Order: sequence, then C-alpha cells, then structure tokens
Amino acid sequence: MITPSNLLAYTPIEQAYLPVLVMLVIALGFCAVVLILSPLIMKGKPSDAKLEPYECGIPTVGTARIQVFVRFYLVALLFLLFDIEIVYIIIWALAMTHAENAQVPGFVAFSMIVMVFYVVVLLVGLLYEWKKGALNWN
Amino acid sequence: MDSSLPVQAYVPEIHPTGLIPFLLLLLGGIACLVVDAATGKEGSRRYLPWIAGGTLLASITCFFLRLVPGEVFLEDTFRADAFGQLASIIILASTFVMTTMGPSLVRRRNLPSGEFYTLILFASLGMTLLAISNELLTAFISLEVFALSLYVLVGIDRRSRKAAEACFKYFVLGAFASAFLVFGIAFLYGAAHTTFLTEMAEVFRQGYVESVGPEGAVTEIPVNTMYVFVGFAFMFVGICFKLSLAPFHMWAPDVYQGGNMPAVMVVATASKVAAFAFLVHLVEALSYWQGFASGAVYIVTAVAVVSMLWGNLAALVQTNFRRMMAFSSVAHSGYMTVGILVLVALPGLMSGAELEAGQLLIRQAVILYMAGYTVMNILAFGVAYYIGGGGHMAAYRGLVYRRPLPAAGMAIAMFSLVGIGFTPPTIGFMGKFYIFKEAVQVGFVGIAVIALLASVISAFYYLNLVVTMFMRAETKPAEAPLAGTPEAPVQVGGELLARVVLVTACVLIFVFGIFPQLFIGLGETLVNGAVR
Repeated sequence: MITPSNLLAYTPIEQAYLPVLVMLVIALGFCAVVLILSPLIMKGKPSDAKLEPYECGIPTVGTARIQVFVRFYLVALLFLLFDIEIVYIIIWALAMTHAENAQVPGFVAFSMIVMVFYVVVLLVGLLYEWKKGALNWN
Repeated sequence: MDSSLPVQAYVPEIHPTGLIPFLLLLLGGIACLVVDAATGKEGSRRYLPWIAGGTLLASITCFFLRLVPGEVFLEDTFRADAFGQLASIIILASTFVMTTMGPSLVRRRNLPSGEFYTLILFASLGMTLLAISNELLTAFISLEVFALSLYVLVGIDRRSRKAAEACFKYFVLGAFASAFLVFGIAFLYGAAHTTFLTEMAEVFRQGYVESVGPEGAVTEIPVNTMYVFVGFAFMFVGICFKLSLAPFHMWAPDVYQGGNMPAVMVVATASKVAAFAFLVHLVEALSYWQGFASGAVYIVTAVAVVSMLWGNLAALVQTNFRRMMAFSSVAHSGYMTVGILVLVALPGLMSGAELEAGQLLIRQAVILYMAGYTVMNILAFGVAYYIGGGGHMAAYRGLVYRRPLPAAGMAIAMFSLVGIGFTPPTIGFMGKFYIFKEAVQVGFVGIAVIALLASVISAFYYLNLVVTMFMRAETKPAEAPLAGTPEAPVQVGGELLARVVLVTACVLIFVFGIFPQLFIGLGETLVNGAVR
C-alpha cells in the first residue's frame, strides 16, 4: 500500500514532488499559450452577444450580487460542522472495529471515551445554537 | 481494506494529570455556553464572570500543584518544560485580567456575555496549548483555536465601526499568515519526516532521516537544506504576524485602536507570549541543523532590527495612546527576537552540557522579558481602560490632578517600558538586561547596541506621556473628552477587583524587577526542582 510517508521513503524528495512541478509548469504554460496566442490569431469582430459572459446559453437575468438571507450561511456552516464530524466518526468506527486494534487491551474503551467526549462537545454547541434561536427560520 | 497488513495499534500514554488544566479551560468554556443558554441575559451576566474567572484561576492553580509534568507527555505531543509552564501561567493571568474587565465592558457596550466569556476561555486553551506544544500540527490547531477566538473578541462590539474594521483586518491578515505557517510546516515535514519537535531536533542533530523500506532495509536520506530554510522562513513569517514583528505589523495599529481594550490587551500580551513560546521551541529544534545559523541569522537579525527601529520611530509620531502602544509592542517583539537570534547561533558556538546551559539561560531571559512585557502592558492598558477617554493623547493632559493613582500606575508602566538607564528596579529593565547580556556574550554586540539605541528612542514617547500626565495643565480645548473626568463617556472605575489587579501589576513590576530570580526560580520549582 502506498502512503505519502512510504512514497517519500522510496524516492528522493525531489523526485517525489517532480510530478507536481511538471503539472504546475504544464498548467501555467497552457494558460500562457491560450492567453497570448488567441489574441494574435483571432479576427476581432465583437458584438454584444459575443462579449457577454457565457454560462449555459440562457440570457442573463440581472446581477449575481444579490443579498442572500444570512440563515443560508448559517445552515451551510452547521452542515460543514457535522460533515466534518461524520468524517471523523467513520474513520474512528473503522479503526475501532479493525480486528487487530480490537485485540489491544483498553483500546476500544479508550477510543469510546474519546469519541463520546468529542460528540458531547459538538452536541453542546448544537444545543447552544438551538437555544439561541439560530435554527429558528422565522 | 487489506487486513493482512500489520497495523500498529496503541493506546496513547496519557499523563494522569497533565491535561487537567487544559481540560478545565475547555469544560469551563462549555459550562459558560450551557449556563448562558439556560439562564437569560441578566443571569448570564451575573454568573459567567465567576465561572470564567474561577476556571482560569483553577487552571493556574493546577500548574502550581505540579499536575503538569515538566517534560514531554501525551505521546510527545506536549512539552511542558519550565519555560512552557511559565508562559502558560502568564497567558492565563493575562486572560484573567481580561475577565475582570469583562463585566463593565459587557454592560456598557451591551455585548453578548455568553460568547464573550466562552471565547476568552477557548482563547486561553489555544494559547496555553500552543505555548507547550511539541508537535507542529497540534501547534497549528492551537494557534487557530486562539486566533479565531481573538478575531471574534476584537470585533465583538458589533455596533462599533472601528471594531468591525479592526476585526476584519485582523482576520484577513491572520488567515493569510496561517497559510504561510501551514506551508512551512509541510516543508519541515518534508525535511525531517516528522512533525514532532523533539524528534526533529534528533534528526537535525544527526543530519539524515532514517527511512525504512519495504523489506525493512534502512536507508539514510540526508536532510534537504533548502527544505529546512524554506520551511523555517515560511513558519517564521506566519509567527511574525502573530508577534506583529516589523514587516508584518501592519494590522497592529488599527486593531489596537479599533478593538475593545480588554481584547486588545490579550492580543498584545497573551497571544504574543504563546506565539513566542512556540517560536522558541521551534528555533531550538531547528538550530541543531548544522548550517542553520548561516542562513537563519540573517532572517532573524533583519526582522529584529527593523522591528526595533521602525516600531520605536513610528511610535514617536503617534497621537493616539493605543496606536503608540501598538508600535511599542512591535519594538518589544523586536527586543525579544534578539533572544531568538542568540538561540539560533548557540549550537554553532558550543555543544553538550554547555549548550544546554546556554539554551536554558536564554529561555529564562526570554520568559522573564515576556513576563515583564505582559505585566507592563496589562498595567498600561488596564489604566487606560478604566480612565477611558478614547485613547487620544490630549485626553491625558494633567491626568494626575484628576485621578492621581491611575496616573501614577501609568507612569510606572511607562518607566518600566523604557527599561534602560534610570529605571533599574523595574522588570522592564531586568528583562532587557538579561536578553542583551546574552546577545553580547555570544558576540552580537552590534545588535545589542542597536537595541539600546532603539530603547533610547523609545524613552522619548513613553516619557512624553508621563510629561503630559504630570506636567501639562489640564487646559482645554482637547478635541477629545479628558480621560478620568466624570463627563468622559467610558469612565467606569470603582471596581475593587480591577484595582486589586492593577495594584498587583504595579507591585509585580518592582518585585520581579528587584528579584528576577524569584520568577525564574518559580519555573524551576514548577517542574519539580529539575533544571530544564
């Protein structure tokens, strides 16, 4: 199984990051070529329709800079919070049920305590939001 | 998942009592939230200061009860040596003072008290953990915990436009600096293949990384010099922001001026102490890499010299007390960075037990300076908060005739901040003396001379305030309401605890100034008498 740490162990560090560098050069080069070459070879015949920003073909209806109700932001924030919680819990559950981990004395009890503590901390945060009316849509 | 792979499972070794002071802070913060949600506005205003203050005192007590081990604990994640423990105590003391200012601020500006006290405790948690962290990612998370709390605390007064501006500037630049920090961490991990500072020191000392191949073959990969330097440079930039060192200090004047005074006091004192404690641990680990000094000395020297000179020169022309203190704190961070400079150069000059003794001395000098800096700034900001007047210099005219005791306290703070020449019995003098002494002893005479000259410049604006308070008649017209007069809008005063705290700060300036060994000895006592 290749993990970041043993990838570094097998190859010198410069080589391990070489693909990243190559990717960076290609990406920058592509952008530069497109931006420099297209004004040179194009024939400029601008019209209103051509100068409009293209999204999906439907005529644009007004500006995108509208005021968004702040509660959407709050919901997004809460969603993010519990999304991260799920990410942690899945890994935790996998590690907990792993046969060799489960054999280590005290491991299950310890990880249970840690996770309960973590969830309780998040739960208090949720209850606080709730009590303060942050979840109240009206 | 292939279950045939060998998986190393372990139960982390937790020191039985080491985490108690930090868990207390976390639980205290949660308790504040619960109580705030359970009781109403008035109830939370009544109970939360007691919960927050009590939690902070209990946490400090834990350090004095020696519950925290004076070494690495929790799987090497934390290293609570005497230096780190003293830094933690300084941080908690500073946030405690903020808590004592809380009730009047909350009532006067009609702030949400639940968030206010909870964030103080969370910020304390982050700062203390940063001060003792021995692992780069833990340090980063701790830094974010306290930085996010402080962004909110600076801008918690939502009706104030200046506070919003301060909060926004602090947040945007802080997030930018955090990116630098985490980028530097990635490079250092690439260089040392570990994020633990103690292991990193070992790797740098031997000069290569041992890497175990697929068949158990051990190969020795030499440490990549460029990664060390790039990693250090990026991390240093990130930390320089928190310390408001000179090229990265742009946020400081606006934040100090716009934010509420108690939060600004913590930004100026505790957050700097935390970041500096981490920087000391980081530089100590990196300095073992031979050739580290050859590059890092230039980076650190440049930052220190520019901070000392620019901080003091810019402070000369300020007309606002808070902006003056912001540039003064830039300069003081510069003086402290001279200590870092010595730490960088030390392994090139000595080795073995001599090196350890030298590092101990410079750690002690730095922690003494940080303690002094914190006490002086608590006194200065505390007095300025309680006499009000919006921070205009003109408002301090003839303060001694209206409020003699606060004026005397402010004068003591200013004399101690000068810290050279005629102020020997103050802690400001002792801190500078020890740091400059170390610098001269390892041969940074030029830097020490620059630092002294910068201190001479600083005498002008510190003593100018004293002159304004004591020798200028309180003639109008001052464009701002005079500080300490009944018609000054923010005058509160009359709180016994606040007076006790400020008088204590006055006393500590002299006690630690005359007996600096008391403070150093305290650190050694905390780690069971062992000299670390």
